[in-house]
Amino acid sequence: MAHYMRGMVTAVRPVKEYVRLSIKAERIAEEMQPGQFAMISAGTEPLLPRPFSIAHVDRGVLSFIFQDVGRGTGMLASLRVGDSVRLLGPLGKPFRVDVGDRPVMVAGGRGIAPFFELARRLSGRSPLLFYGGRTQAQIIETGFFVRLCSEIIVSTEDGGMGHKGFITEPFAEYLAKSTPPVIYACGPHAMLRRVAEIAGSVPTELSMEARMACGYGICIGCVIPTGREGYRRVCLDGPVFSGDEIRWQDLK
Amino acid sequence: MAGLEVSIGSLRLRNPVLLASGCVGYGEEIAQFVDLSALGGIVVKGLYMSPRIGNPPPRIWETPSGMLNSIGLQGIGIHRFVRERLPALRQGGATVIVNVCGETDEEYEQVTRVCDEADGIHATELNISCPNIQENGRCPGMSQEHTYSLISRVRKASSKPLIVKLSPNVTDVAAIATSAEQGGADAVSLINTVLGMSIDTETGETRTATGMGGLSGPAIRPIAVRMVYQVSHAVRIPVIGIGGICDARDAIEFFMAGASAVQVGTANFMNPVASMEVLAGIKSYLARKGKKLNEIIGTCQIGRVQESEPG
Repeated sequence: MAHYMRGMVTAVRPVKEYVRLSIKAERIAEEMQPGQFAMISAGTEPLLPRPFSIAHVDRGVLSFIFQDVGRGTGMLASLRVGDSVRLLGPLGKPFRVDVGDRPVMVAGGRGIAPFFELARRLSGRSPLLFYGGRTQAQIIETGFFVRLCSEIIVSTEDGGMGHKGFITEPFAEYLAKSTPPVIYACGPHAMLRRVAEIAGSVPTELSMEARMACGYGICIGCVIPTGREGYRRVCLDGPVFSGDEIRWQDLK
Repeated sequence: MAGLEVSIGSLRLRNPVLLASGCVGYGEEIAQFVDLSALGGIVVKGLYMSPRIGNPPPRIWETPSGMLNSIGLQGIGIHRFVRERLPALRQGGATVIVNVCGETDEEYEQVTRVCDEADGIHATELNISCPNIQENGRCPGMSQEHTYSLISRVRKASSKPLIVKLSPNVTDVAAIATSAEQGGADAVSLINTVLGMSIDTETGETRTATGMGGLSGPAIRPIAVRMVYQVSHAVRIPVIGIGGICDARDAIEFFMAGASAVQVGTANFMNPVASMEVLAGIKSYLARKGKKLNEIIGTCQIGRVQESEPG
């Protein structure tokens, strides 16, 4: 059940290349499950709210991690403590968490966001995290995961931190010798597609991204091509999809 | 509540606030936030005889005070709607209006016939902005002749109230409205989206996959108010105003321009309870002014300068 409500900004701070925005919104925080998102708006311009994965939940406060790249994110990055925003959430189909031991999470850049709460839920299952970024400025809050994961493998494209190259390379090496119960991934579409290929017959739970207007299923603007049912809504039928549902060749 | 009812042909709407087609799907998602039985009605997403997969993504792009969409009338088809979605709407006590689409005049007639026979559908809204395959993709609503012949034909297929939704992408919207009235429409609703385009200057690609898109939201409201004004002076049937309505003041602008009812569309994307807020705001406005709804319809004065109220 999603709530449309006001929330109060409790913190806005830069985290390397990203912004971490915290908002008090108790009802959403109570019901949120890992992988779900919320729509946030802070005025009438830009017109449409913006969707963000819920990263942390702590005593009624939701935190979001995003990059200041446009009108919507710029407006949110300029919020101050005490400002009021409108929220709609929690939205979307969450990750499944009833899984076996040593599940794998693969994050690319700000795709790390949904894994904070997921890692917390999976901590008894010794999860592994593969975490890649273009540079070290995209690798954040690794200390949080150190406490909850059995292993963390980091990569950067420039080699500034961890393995040099794409995160899908160490991930592929790991999959060559291990069979995790499930692979969770969130990041750019090219990375997700590669993860789905490498995964083979291992089940995947991929958190997809799309431009959205409403976030709750009514505009049908955020669709991705899937095999079984044609175009499906990222907001309501996802954002979590199994890799074998998606028609990658038709996805831009 | 007294003084808010609106008649569209034989249909009596509880109040003048409806949800606009294409902006609320088939109602089930927005019903989490809005009591559909408390609104004037819901116009469900456009339906053809068969399901349609819709256009490839990207389908939407936000523009200044508005958005472009190119959804492509993705839909489940009228039969599946009646079977699978209508029961929940009926149970919820909603006044249901089906937006009727067609690739041919025959298809418009067929969909209308299905609606005529289905209990729980109270009226139809003919979407005359669908590309017509017998007319090289031109929409019926682009010509007076086609509008008249299509509506005359569809009129005979149904005893339920027939609303005709007009496109703003014409030279003389009042002339099209007149043809709709002569063809037998019980009401006209306007405006549909304004054709637009946006280009990514880094890549040179259009922002929506199909090139053009329909512009909606507050950006088009003045166009819609102007067209409602023109049309309401050209026809005797009720006019339903649509176009960027976000709050009660926006709706009242349409009433004063000549609309008897309004539809809330894009605002539902920004605020799921926008329609309820519009309705509540209309009630308090009328109470504050000591007026009934029909006492403000069409009351706008041209060329009279007044000081606006503060705030």
